[in-house]
Amino acid sequence: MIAVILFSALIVTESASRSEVPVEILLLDAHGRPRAEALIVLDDGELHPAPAEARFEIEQRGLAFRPSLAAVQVGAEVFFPNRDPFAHHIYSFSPGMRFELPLHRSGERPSHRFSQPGVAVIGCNIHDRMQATLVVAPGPWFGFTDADGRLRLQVPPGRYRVLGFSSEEAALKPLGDGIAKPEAPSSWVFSTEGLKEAP
Amino acid sequence: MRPRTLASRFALLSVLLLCFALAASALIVRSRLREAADAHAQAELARGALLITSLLEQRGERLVLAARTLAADYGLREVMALGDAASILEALRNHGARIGADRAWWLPRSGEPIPSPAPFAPKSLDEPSKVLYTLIEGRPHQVILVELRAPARLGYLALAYALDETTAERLSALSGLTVRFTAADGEGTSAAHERLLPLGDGGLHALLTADLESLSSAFRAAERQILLLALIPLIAAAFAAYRLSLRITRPLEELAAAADRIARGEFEPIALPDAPTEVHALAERMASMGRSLAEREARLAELAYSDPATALPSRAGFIARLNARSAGEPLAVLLCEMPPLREIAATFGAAAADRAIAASASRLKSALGREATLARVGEQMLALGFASASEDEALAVAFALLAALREPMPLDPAPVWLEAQIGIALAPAHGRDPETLLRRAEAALTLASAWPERCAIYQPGLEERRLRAISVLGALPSALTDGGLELHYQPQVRLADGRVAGVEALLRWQDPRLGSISPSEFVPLAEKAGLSQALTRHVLSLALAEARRWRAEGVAIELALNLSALDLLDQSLPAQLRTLLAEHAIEPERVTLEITESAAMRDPERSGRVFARLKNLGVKLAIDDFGSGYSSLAQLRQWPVDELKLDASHVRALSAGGPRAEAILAASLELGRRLGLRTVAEGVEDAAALAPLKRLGCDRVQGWLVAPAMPAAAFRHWWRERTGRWPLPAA
Repeated sequence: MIAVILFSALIVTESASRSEVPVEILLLDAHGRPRAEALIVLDDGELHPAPAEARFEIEQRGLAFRPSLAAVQVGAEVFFPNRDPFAHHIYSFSPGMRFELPLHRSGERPSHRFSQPGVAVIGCNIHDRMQATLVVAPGPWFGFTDADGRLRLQVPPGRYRVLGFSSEEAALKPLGDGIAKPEAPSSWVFSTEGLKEAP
Repeated sequence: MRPRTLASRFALLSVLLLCFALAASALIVRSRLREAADAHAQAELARGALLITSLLEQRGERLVLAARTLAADYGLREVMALGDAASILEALRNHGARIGADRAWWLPRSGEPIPSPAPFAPKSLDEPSKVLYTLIEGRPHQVILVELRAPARLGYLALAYALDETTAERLSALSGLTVRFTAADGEGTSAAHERLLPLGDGGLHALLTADLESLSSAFRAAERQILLLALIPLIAAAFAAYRLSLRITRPLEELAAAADRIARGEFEPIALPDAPTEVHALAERMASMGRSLAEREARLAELAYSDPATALPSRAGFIARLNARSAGEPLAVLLCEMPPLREIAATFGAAAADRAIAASASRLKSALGREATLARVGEQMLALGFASASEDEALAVAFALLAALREPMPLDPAPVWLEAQIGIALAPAHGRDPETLLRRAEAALTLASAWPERCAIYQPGLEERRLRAISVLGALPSALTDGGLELHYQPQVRLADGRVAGVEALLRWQDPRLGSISPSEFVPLAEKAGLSQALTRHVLSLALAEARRWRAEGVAIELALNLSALDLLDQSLPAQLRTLLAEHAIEPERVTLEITESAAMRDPERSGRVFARLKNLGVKLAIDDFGSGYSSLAQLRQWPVDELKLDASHVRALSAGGPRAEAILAASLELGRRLGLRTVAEGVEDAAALAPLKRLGCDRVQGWLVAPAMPAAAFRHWWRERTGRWPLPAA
């Protein structure tokens, strides 16, 4: 497994109080075709923890995590409700993201708050086949491209590093930088090159 | 060494043929057995390979399962995820031991293997597990690779299990083959009882060896039995062949022995009871050959030992009979020759001669009056052998026999005189064996013919003289051509003034082997051998060539040459002499030819003609040796000679002194003078002889007193020294 260091440097930019502007991101694959359902995360270099009440849920049902790929804002609390009729033992050994939710029975709903951005590969110690990936973004700006390969976000103007999730490497990979202009909507185009998909 | 006898050849040939056949069949069987063994081994190997492959696969699967379980261990996964090398090493040791792995490695998804390096480097691992075969520290291992997920794949666990001897033995026990793990490839695979089973693709192999030992020992036993089975007929065949060939060769050997007996003259029947038909036929032919040989031999013996015309023993028979006598006993051999028998045969036929000899034989028998062996040993020769102690006794018998044969022999159509002569040889005085005695009696015959009593006993040396004569005769032709014969010259001095008036040419022959040979010895031989003419020509041309040289050097002398009796009968001599004289430009009157009286008497008429023609040439003629031998005054009267040459015996008698010698000389000289002939005395050796000759009026002298005969060069020197003059003694 490849360790990915997402926050090698923290860049101090403008204050969060600035008004937001729309940004449209178009992701094309190597052949110039739109890439759908790709997870894209924007990083302005600062941590923007989610409010304390922010929650997310990954259920365990039918010997699987659902959804098996999810993204949350840093600081969010993620619940893992057990909807199987037997016990599970959730863990992640991903660097910087280690946590363990020891044996919890059917109907229990343990949770874990992710206070550091990164990618946690989550498994069940009892059931080797169960696997989920949780991307913890440094801020609230992330999402999946639609069928046209587009993602529309409202962001404060400024410069962002744009990261894409590589399912093969289970890591965020930089796609490039984008500048959100204050007066008009911005439109960024990136190539998926470098974003290796798991087959 | 190659066998030579027929028997061994037969035996060898049959044994070789059988050997060939047996060897061929043994080879075929052996090769079939080998093929069967190989096929069997191949099948074993194929089965074994399948079994071992599957056993190793099963083991791999079992180990994979164990490794998977291990990889699912939460603690292990946690340690691997943590990435702390020391912890990982310890966990590998601990967890590897848990499932009995000999060695364990952690191959993380990215980064170096732990412990590093790993002795294997699987490329592009994707499947959850894999079984590898590889060498670790030189020893073969089975390596189980299983992925470790947490839950994403963190890496692979590698667990190595040694393929040690225990493993190999277990596989061997299960497969019935000998299993050995090896990294070598290709080696040893050529053997039919081996197979290399590749393990994975790391170059590791399992070498499977079919246990041929038990199998091949069974085959070898079969081979031995086949060989043994082959040997029995082989020996039997050799024995049979030998026996069979003996049945042929033994009679052959007996035949060879019989042939040897025939060669020795033993003609006995050949008995071969159990010989093959062919050999029998051969034996019969040999027997009949032996019989006819015996007959022919008897007949030949008869012919060889007897004379068919007279029924007397032959020469061989005579010798055989005398040989039968005890050695050392005194013996006389008489050889009786009757020369007229040749003429009788020529005139009345050979049968008449045979009758004559038969009649003479019976006369001899009756005259003999004692026991004797009588034989016909030649055409006109009878031989007698009888015991006789002395020469006198033998001579008495010989005379009696000659007397008996002297009477004319009544023969149809006319009586004949046999003119017998007898040669006698006595044993042991003249020889011991009959051959020698016969030969010596024959030698004595030559004497007998010369003597009036017509009988002679062998004299020791007689045969040697004959042998010398033969040698001389043999040497003569080459002496004529290569110059062994040369002329010496003896001066003749005129008593009137001491001038050297002439020379007599004398033949000298010095042979390297026979020594000095005098003309009295070889001239008669040359006459007998028909070489007389050649000899005369040789002498004439030598002498005339020398005379020519004298003329050229101013030596003005006459030349005297000796002619033999035969020369006087040679009608061609005058013409040839004329040619030679002309050739050398010699005046005929300078040449004197000396003739002995006896020579002139042989055929007076014929020699008279030659004489006259020589005379006509203008040469001078002389009577040589006058006063010796048969002297005929009648001839002196008839023959127109120019010179009388007084015999040396009379001149030597002068030296001894005595009135009779001088009287004879005086008369001879007087005779010469009266006839108007020149007189020459030869053999003048001293002054005592010279004085009376001078006094009595002899014209010329010749002899040692003047000079001996000298070679041509010496004579010329002698003549020049004296300028042709010999100083006469004063008295």
